[in-house]
Amino acid sequence: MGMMGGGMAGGWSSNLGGGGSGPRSSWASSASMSDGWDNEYGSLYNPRLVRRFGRYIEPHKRPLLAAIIANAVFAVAFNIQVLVVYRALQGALDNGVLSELNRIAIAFGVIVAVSWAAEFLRQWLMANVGHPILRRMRQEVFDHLMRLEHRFYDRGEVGAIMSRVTSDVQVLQEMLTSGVLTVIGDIFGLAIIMVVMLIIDWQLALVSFAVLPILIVSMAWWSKRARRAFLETRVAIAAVNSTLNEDLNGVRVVQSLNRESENARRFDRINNWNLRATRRAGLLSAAIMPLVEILIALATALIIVVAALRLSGGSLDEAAGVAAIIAFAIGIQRFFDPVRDLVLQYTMFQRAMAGAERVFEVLDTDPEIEDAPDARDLPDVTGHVQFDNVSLEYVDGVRVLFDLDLEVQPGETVALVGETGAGKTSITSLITRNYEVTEGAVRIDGHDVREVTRASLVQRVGVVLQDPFLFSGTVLDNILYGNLNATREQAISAAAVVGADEWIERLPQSYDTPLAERAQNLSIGQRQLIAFARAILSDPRILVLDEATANVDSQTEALIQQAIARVLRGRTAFVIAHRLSTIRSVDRIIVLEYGRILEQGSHQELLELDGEYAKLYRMMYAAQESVEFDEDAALAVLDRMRERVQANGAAAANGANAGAESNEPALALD
Amino acid sequence: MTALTANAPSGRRLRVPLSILVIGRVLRFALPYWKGLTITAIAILATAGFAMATPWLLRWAIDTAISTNLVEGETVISITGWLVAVAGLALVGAAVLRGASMFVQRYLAEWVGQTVAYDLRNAIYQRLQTLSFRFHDGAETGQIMVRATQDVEVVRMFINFGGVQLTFTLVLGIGTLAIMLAINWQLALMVWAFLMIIAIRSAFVSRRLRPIWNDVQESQAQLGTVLQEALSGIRVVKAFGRAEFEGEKFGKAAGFLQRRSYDASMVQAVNMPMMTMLGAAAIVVTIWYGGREVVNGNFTVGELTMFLMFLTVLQMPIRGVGWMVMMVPRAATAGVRIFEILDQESEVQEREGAVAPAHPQGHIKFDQVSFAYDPRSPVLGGIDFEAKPGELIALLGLTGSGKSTVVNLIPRFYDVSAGRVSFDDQDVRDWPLEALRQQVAIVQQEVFLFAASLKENIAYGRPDATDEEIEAAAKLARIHNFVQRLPDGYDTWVGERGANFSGGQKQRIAIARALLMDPRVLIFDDSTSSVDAATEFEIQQAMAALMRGRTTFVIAHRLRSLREADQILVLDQGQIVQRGQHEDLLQQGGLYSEIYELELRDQESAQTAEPLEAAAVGGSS
Repeated sequence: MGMMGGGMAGGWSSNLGGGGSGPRSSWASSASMSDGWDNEYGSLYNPRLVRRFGRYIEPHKRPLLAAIIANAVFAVAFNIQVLVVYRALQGALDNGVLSELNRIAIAFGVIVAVSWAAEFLRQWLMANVGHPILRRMRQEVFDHLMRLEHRFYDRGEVGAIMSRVTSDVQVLQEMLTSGVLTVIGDIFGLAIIMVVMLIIDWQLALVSFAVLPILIVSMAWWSKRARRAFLETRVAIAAVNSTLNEDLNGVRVVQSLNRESENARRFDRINNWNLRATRRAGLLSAAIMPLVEILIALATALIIVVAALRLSGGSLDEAAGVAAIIAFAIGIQRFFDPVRDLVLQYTMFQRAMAGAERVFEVLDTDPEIEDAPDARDLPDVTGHVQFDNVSLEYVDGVRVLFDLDLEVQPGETVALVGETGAGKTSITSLITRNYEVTEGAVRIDGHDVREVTRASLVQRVGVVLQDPFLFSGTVLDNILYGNLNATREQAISAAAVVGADEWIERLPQSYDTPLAERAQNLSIGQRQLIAFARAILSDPRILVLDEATANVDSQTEALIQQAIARVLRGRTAFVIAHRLSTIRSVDRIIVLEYGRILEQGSHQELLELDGEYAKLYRMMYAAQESVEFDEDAALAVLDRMRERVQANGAAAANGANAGAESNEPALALD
Repeated sequence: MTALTANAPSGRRLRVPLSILVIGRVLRFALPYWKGLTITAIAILATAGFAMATPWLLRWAIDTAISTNLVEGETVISITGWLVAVAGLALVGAAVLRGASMFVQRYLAEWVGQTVAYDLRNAIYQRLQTLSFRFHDGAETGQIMVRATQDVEVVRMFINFGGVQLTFTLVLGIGTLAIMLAINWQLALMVWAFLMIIAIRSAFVSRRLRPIWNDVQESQAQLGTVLQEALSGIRVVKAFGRAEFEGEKFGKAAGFLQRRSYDASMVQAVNMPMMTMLGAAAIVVTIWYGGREVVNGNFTVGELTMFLMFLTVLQMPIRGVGWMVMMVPRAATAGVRIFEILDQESEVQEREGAVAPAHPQGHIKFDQVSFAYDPRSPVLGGIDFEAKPGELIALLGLTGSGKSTVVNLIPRFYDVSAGRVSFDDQDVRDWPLEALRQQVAIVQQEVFLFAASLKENIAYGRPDATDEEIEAAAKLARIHNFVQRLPDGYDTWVGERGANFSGGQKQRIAIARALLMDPRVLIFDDSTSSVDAATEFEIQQAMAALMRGRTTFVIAHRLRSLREADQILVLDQGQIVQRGQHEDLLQQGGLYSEIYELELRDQESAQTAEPLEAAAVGGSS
């Protein structure tokens, strides 16, 4: 939308396509609000970035060259029209011979045809070059993002990363599909029209050129202001849309807390900010066209006066003089248009450079974990897992696991217990090599996880996370996510194993029921059961349940517990759970503290040990460390609040009706 | 109600009378700004007038001031110096005036368009905020957002371009056509033949482009969805090694986007040069035929110049005609979609002259209440119970048994289908909505936090709360200590949906929220079971603080709550199948003991096994 002003000033053509392009979907990436608005514009030309573009352009060298030639041909053909008009008029005025007029009309016709062909060729070639380049770039960024590991995502926000792939590439699209060639075309065009004008009458040409500095200076001033104004409109509309989106998602809370009118006021404030920003931008975009028109008229007037002076002085041939006036009247527009256009493109180039910078930044982030060159596939395993003296640092020097030794036998179920930050998830993340160990080794059936391919590794390890993330698509699609080669029957039996088949079949379209956004048409428990089915579909030997039952209600948890009992049979399992009752029956409980194993053993053994686990277990129902504060004082504060509110309420009730009207923004709707 | 789902009439063509009706309604939004519109109209006339003045003055300059004449094939001129000066000045003057009026026209068009968009957004926002749960249950956020963003944008563009610019183009077109016809009707017709072809072609092309652009937009949204999912679910993608699979999904969406963008570019590649050529052809004809006429003496050099200038002036507006015309049906479709939201009436309406009792006690009574979203499948039937002020009522039942629906009827998020819910012996439908909801606070299972500071989130229901009050509520909710450990304390920014906070923390924030509301009735949806032991204890304490002296409804799976409840309502398929206190219900058998065996027994054994329980109960009071 930023170029809307430019589009309007630049003529209708760019509006014709305006419907679909531009960051209309800005609300979707509104999370990126904090991201990059200040880096919206880069330097005009960055040789390093341009060189990198070279790699994308390389395969399209020839069509691109052809497009540039076509562009030059067009510029010549288009601007030479002015010269032809001049000659035609001069001829006609000089001797009134009609045959010459015919010849010139034919010549003109040819030129028009040539410029049509060149222009068509240029646009056709660019469509063929630009879109594939963009597609390639998008795909590369996406594939690269998929290759980056947990460590990268721990840092960044999804919204910010998303805007790299969407809006930043979008800006590059503008530049690639129209920007670059427009600029080249403008430069060609400008050069040629100047030559044409000089040929027709160099003195009149110089007079017209004299207006140019005014145009450039005022355009530069304008563009600087406009840039800021349009940036503000983009930020403002993003704020409007994200507020709307958030309050829509939270509408139930809003209503239960009586926030409607307060929220309406706040929304109005942001909406109003957007209104003011767009009006300011409107002021600027409305100003540019008239300015150019006035300057064109000024130049035309100067030409007439100068021509008239010279005609009356006799220093200018009469026919040539009048023909020149007419030719200049037409040509001056073609002289001003590219200049104005170049100034507008300047801003776009800056945005494109900043966008490119961000895109390449993603591509330059190397994945830290990649398959070793000689990595083999992990063969069928029994599920023996060994942590051999493992240490882990997420950040250099900050250790989260210390010399961990742990051996888990095939078919054994171990539970990891400990406070947040004790290292439970760190341990399970190492099994699928989401992070690289700092020291030591993790082995599955004796194979170091660093020596096997990740693809084969994850196939043997099923993971169920606390947040059962489901993808859009049907219920079946989501179960099949665990194993793309599985049949429908296998998926259904996986669902049956976890006890989900019964309610899935009651869904409107059973397994083919499409899921709403974020699977909100299912309860958390149902989502989690699908995630379970998904995890066991590939029949993994090792299963990781990372707080898999944390978010479900106890009724669903009971169901899941039954499912787990069935699913764990014959598999090695790592279970992380806060609720100790859920892990009482596991083979071995490992109690962690600050990245070290504190104690381990069965539930009964640990209770008898009367150590940390026993303490945790008791605390489950009987925590003693009550938080000390003066409860009566706090209650007294709230009592005073009640009195204050009641007093205010009584006062407000009187003036409420009068006040309510004026407080609401002008919304005389229905 | 279900109209706001994916199969909304996005691309559907409307019947013409309906279109006119909708456009009329859209325009009514612009009506309050009639002053701006009137000035815009004047500006349009002035701009068009001055736009025609420039070629006219040029003609006058050539024909009169320079007095160009063709005498027997020779050009003869006689220059009147002061006339030339006047012509020059007049040209600049006309341009300045035209510039000024054009500025006014463009600015006001934008102004009115943006203001209408602003009004529409506010209207949509307010409507959405007040529509009952029934509407929001059936609506998709994404679909509503599209209406509030893209459709509003279409309406704005319609007012600006479809309205103002189209009018300008029409005025300019008719004006120049009239002048040209008056001067040389043959040439005028020839030239206008070309211009008409351009205009018609432009309409034709816009029409062809529209579905393509829709596809482009659609596939951009699709691409966004794939991207968003792959990134949000990156851990799942990694856990299953599905990077390639996601890459293919993305590739498919990107491929479609590329194909359709390419199609659009190709239509343009054919069309734009064609337009340019047609425009140039009109110039060729003018020079060829006009030149002959000049030589024949039927046409002056100035008039020829004027014709050429008109062509330059008309070129761009005529090219845009198609696009502007197409704004009308687009705006009609967008308008329908916007009004679909604005016309939704909330079923929950405040009764005229509703008055709240002076001193609410929190006495809740359900009288033979039934409820159904759809008459064929009732959700609740014959619900009958009473909660005296200060009582604790626990609701128990399987998923889908109607527990949440029962409590949602108290603050009137839905209206009963039959029967009556009363609060202090007054039907909730006779309460002012705000007063009613002020007295009923809900702590939801999934706590929704807003992107604001922690302080604002706690004070969400009482924006005028003082810092002291907020802190007191936080203390009672057992969240104060945690907040104090945060670097920014109460000013800590809560990210999107509070992703940085654990479930237990969010729940306590919600409890603090409810404390500030100071309601008589409290609803605690406590079916989230699992938080770690310490958190669980703190939530228990916070709850105890909140419940004190209030009528409380707990959707409970916690043995403690059930034991303490004055009354337990066991629901099954929308009916109360058992009621009473814990011990009695256990004795009765039935659903209660089934659930007890399944879920609650564990807690029992853990509690009785641990002698420390007594200390905990002591500590929590």
